[in-house]
Amino acid sequence: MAKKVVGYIKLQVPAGKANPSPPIGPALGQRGLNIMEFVKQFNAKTADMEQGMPVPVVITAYADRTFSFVTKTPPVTYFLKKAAGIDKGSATVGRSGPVGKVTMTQVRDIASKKMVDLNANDVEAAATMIVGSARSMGIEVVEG
Amino acid sequence: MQPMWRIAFQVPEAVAPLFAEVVESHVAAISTFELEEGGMWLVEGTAHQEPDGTRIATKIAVLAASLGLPEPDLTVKPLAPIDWVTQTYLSFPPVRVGRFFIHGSHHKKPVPKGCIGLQIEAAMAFGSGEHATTQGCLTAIEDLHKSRKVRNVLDMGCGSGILGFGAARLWHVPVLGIDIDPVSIEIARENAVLNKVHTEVSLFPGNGYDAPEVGRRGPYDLILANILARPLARMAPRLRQHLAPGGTAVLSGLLRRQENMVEAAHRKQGLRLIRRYRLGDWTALVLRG
Repeated sequence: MAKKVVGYIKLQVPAGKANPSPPIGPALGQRGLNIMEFVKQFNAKTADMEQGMPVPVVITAYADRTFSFVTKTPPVTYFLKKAAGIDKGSATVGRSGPVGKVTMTQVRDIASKKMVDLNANDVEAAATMIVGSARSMGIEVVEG
Repeated sequence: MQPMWRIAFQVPEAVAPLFAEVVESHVAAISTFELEEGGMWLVEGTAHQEPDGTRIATKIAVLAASLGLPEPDLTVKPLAPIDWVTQTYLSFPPVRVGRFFIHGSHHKKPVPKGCIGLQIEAAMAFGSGEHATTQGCLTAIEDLHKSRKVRNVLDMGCGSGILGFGAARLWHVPVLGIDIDPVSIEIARENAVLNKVHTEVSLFPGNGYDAPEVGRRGPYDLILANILARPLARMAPRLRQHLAPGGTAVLSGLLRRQENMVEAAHRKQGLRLIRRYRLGDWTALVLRG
């Protein structure tokens, strides 16, 4: 049918745990989209993912206030913090020691999970990007 | 509850994604929305804490200058605490189109006497009943029902299924719904059960008239197609192929200025215009084979 696009909303939602509280409620509600329908559909689509994992989602809104959405892989920072066993990256990168450590095997594993959303030709190229992200967060990358 | 914050400014459509990207890291959700057809777009962010307005203003001013645009007028305000779920439901009141009474699951009151109730959620399939293209088709279907007997219906690009359901409820005949989007078909199938028309309405994903079911169940004496002007014009020969002699086509999804293009494509196939329904900028055409 006449799916005229009138807007987009981009936000992060925990897999399987979308609910009408902020930011979903205000973000969708201000634009007149059906919050409960989004919550229902998102939770169904992410039911098989690790519950609570942050999932970036882009919602496309159409002229009659119906919508569609696509989910992306979680941010690199999420995977790195998880692999390093830390809650947050360093606030003083370069001025203090590393806050955690990841191995190249873990980096390659993250790279293969992120390949679909990264602008990289192969896993090795993606791994180089992940190493850069790790260093910018104060996480040391070691062989292994 | 801790108040949320809202940032907002307006920019031209073509550059809205660029502006959204530069402010994204300051907010929990970012959206870009059309304010009026062909006009400015609203970039709107929702944040858990008060965002750094000065920093955001600097960023968007720099981007605007680099694009040769005037500096957008940024507003940063706390968002009034609102029960968004209730607010959403209130913003989806039932829609009445002729005898059709279209409502969501949150509408608990009975369907008014003499009306045909259709329960459709504004969800992931187009056709909530709110758009003029859907309303034009439903009006045309109801008018046709007053004067024509119909035995076999095709709803091409069925979305939520709303048009096919309307036809099924009026004529109680087999209806085939086809949509290129498998998600729409899943939702339409759920809607068919909710509306108790699943025995009459069959729904399949497929690429327009190439879907095998179309040939298998045709020809059709009523074809409904609420798509867009260009695909409608392109599909005219295929529509003619599947329309029974003397059959009717209801075409929607076209703007007034596109009427001639769509009509001409179908006239070339031997169909003649019977009636047009204009709602706002949109038109639905009724043609006969």
